[in-house]
Amino acid sequence: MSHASRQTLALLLGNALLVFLAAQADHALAGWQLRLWLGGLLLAPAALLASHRAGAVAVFVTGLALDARAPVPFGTHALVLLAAHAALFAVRDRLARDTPALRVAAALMANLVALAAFGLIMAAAGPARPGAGRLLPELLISQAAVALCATWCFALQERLCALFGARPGLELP
Amino acid sequence: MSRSAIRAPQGVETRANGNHRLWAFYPLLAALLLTLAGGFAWQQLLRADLHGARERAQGQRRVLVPGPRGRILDRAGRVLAGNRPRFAVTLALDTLGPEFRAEFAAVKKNYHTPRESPPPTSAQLEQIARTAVVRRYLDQLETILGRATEFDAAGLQRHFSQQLLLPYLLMEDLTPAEYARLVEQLPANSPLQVFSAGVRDYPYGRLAAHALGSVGTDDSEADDDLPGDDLTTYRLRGTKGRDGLEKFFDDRLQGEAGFSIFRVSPAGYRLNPPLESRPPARGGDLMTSLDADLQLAAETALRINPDLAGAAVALDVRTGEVLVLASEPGYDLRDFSPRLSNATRDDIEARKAWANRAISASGTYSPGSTFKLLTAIAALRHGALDPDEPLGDPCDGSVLIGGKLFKCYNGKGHHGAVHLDEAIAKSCDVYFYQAGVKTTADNIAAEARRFHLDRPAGIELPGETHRMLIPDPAWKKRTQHEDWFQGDTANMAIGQGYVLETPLNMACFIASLARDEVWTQPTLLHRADAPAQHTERTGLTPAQRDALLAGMVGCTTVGTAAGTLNNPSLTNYIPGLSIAGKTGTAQIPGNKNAAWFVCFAPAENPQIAIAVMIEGDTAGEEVGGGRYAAPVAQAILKEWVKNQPKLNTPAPVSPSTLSLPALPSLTR
Amino acid sequence: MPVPSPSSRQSRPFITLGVVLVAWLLVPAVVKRFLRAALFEAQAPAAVTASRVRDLQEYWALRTRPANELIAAGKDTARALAGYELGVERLGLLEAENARLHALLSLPPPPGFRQEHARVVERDFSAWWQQLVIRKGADYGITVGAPVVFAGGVVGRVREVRATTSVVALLSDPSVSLAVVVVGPGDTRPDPRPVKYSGGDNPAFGPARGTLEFAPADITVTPGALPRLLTSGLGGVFPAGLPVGEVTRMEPSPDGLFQTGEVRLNPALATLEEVTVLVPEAPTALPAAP
Repeated sequence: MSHASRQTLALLLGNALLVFLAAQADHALAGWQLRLWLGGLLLAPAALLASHRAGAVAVFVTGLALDARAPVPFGTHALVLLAAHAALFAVRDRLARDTPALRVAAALMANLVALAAFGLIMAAAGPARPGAGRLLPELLISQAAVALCATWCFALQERLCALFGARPGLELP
Repeated sequence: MSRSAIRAPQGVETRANGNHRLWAFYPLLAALLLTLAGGFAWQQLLRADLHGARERAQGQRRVLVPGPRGRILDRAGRVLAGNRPRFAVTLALDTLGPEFRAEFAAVKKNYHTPRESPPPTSAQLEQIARTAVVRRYLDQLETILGRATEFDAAGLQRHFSQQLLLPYLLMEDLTPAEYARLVEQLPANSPLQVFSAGVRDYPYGRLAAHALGSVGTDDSEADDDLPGDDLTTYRLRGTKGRDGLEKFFDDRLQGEAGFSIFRVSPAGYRLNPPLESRPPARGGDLMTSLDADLQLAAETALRINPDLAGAAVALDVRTGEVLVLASEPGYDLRDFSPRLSNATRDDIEARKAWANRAISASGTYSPGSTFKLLTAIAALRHGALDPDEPLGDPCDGSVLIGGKLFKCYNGKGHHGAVHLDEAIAKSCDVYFYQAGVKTTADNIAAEARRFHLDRPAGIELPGETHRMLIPDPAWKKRTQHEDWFQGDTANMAIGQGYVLETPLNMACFIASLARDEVWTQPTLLHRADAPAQHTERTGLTPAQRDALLAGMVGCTTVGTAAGTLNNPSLTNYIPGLSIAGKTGTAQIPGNKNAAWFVCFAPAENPQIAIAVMIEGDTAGEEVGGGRYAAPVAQAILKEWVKNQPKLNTPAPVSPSTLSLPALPSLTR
Repeated sequence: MPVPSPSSRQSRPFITLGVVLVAWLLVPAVVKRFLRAALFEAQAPAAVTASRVRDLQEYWALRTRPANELIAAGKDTARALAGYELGVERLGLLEAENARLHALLSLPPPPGFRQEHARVVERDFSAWWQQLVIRKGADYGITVGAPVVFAGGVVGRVREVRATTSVVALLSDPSVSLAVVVVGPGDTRPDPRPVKYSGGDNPAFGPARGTLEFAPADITVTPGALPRLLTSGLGGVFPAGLPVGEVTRMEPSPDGLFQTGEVRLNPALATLEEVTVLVPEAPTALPAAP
């Protein structure tokens, strides 16, 4: 198995765990009419640690998995996450990728951009027009959750890559 | 030199020293650049507005939605004309661009087989594709509602080419159950949308149809001061008052249009959401002075003789507010919305129901004996008669005037020597022939003009006629080129001949008389704090006025209206109400009669004034004011006293309760 | 291995993105549908397992309760049950009478429903959609578009049916619309005019909300005595008389023909553990799901 495939597998496994945990959190948060948007956590490790191909594939498939559970046109999450992944990947060489603080900041930024893009698409398409009373609290708790979990998430993905014998950060064409 | 330039690393030297030939190009280059920059500046700075406007005109469209009309209320705030929602399903054609294109591709593919010759043009294919897509939505609709509807392919094409941005109406007049099915079963993002529009609703049915008037669709491209008036605009058709109050107060009732400005794709399809929009707002309400109960009573009473056309007007004596403005035959305004069918239109035409006989030329007839009140006033004011003395020759059924015999048409017997009060009560023609001749035509005409009987009352309705006529010798000379004879004066004195009046004018006259004044300005608008009207006094002495009123009360108690107005034998007898009235029976063209009755009540403290006119329909038949018109006034009064708490308690009827003198000449 | 130039390295992700976007638009709908179903089913076992674990958790939490408390609760339940049994008997009589009258007037019988109780696997209350995943699907004959109810009234409609799970669009989902009728605070019978209810904006921390459209202009709302909404039964999807919510505010539309209203939904909708799907018995297919 190539390095790229191993990285993809490792990233997918990490993301699957994250998606599952987020769903359980959403189930519990539903009583308060809140839901987490953790797109940044799903794409930041892929963009910063893995090769482009491995990261893009993992992010796209994760996005499709989210689409399968949501009443949105199939591919919406996937394309939004892939776009954010591309943006983050393009600038990653200029960032000090090893510093935890920077990783957190990158995840937060990616999360914000992806959420904004997703929100704009939904507002243009659907009948729903949520107000600021819903979007602002949701943005705040989502960003807080990303900030809290980003370090753990990066560590998890690095461990998984190591476990699969794929050196994280290795450049592969 | 050039060698050293290549070798040397100092580029400055190279440029400074070499390429003299290039110098020639610099000015050229500069000039070209300047031209380019100038062009940009010209287009982008100086002509920016123009381009902006062009871009707006090409890329933006405006949709105008009319606001519902304001309501028309009666004086108690009851809705006479309101709005009723009407549900329809529309298809937003302008959002179906991609679907049409897909269908077009599919249709085109099917036609690729070269069997068809010649192959349909692109435009035809487009049309086929559009029809197929719309038909599909219609099928979906029919499945949900379980009813079939007609599909108008030509209408669709027309709508598509002319009004793409407006929703295309697929089905209208949904029942509540159908509406409910669509709400639950149409997907939220469907281009099929349930659409509601307000149509005129008349909770009282055909009540006051002539006064309210109908509304029609407004096809005018009226200017508006809404934003975006420079854009291509589509308007949903609004409404416009066609007649009656709806027409007269159209500006006030007209709703405020709402608008949406959309960006459109080059093919004309809408791009959501709108750039700017404002919802439509309802027009102002109109509180009329009409009283729905009285109006209903009047119309019902007028319909008792369904073959006879007629009109009734009731005024508030104090303010001049119109309480009743009824005209029969009428029509049902509910038949007008959404649109009037040809059958109904023909039926209204055939029944001659369009005319508002209370104010229009159709209801303008000689006022007959009701005009004697005016003759009496003129005679009294000019000293031509004394209420305490009989006038001239006693009535023996006829009198010779100007060499012609004038008959007394009222009363089978002879009235004998009568005083003014009895002459009014019994409507003695002989008395008034002589009074008229003695007063002179000019004086009667002047008095009538003082009472504004020669001109329209100026009510807030379109179509009030100008045909009312008060003749005098000068008028006859001018128009008929004939001399005025004494017989003309005699005819005029009893309201025959050339005299023409509308029921409304007679109502104003009787209301003025009730206040002992000469003029009442009628109004259809109600104000809770409406001021009492005051105009010039009639100028009668109290004794003269008492005699006049005694005659009018006598008319309703012992005179020409005694049997039909407020008689204890009637089912709608009103105990304790004294009514001052006057009947009239005028000859109208075709050897027919017009029955008149004017009155006010209570006689001692007048509050309501009524004029009723009924047209006879058969030649030679006697349609008398007492017999036909007075019962209508009785019905109105019966309804009116219900809201008069002071009058509700029946008082013992005795002449002593009246402040008026008992009829001395009648008791004689 | 040739090292790519920095500029090509930076543009590559975007080129890839563009290629994927175009390719995605060209993928046939069938493939997408299959992928979607596959990915949904792949995630379902984990979600179902989690829900079963929660059930287990609840079971053990109940096991820790003192026996006396459970006995008291059992007694209360038994009493309630006795009451309901009486009610069921009366209901049976009424149903028979109703059927007899229907037969007498030769009316078609009202549509019947089979009840399927299902546990809630997952709640997904986003700002853009509000849905539940329940633990019964095609295996129990659930149909798309079937109404879903609970003890407190309407829950929503089935949006998707999978092998062993279904997705239910909640009442507060903006795509759900219902024809409802309004019952005034003192009234026992609803106003017969159907009004359009649809899911609306659901603010954080608050109970879910919906909106009323095309409500007659004469319905008034006084604080303290709020009009209730019931399903009308006219729409052909929901049976009549199920509670939907309360009207908290009414605002006349500028055109004066209608009012628009704000509806407060049952807060219990946000913490549902079990719902009942009303599967239509008649073979007539229900209309498309929201």
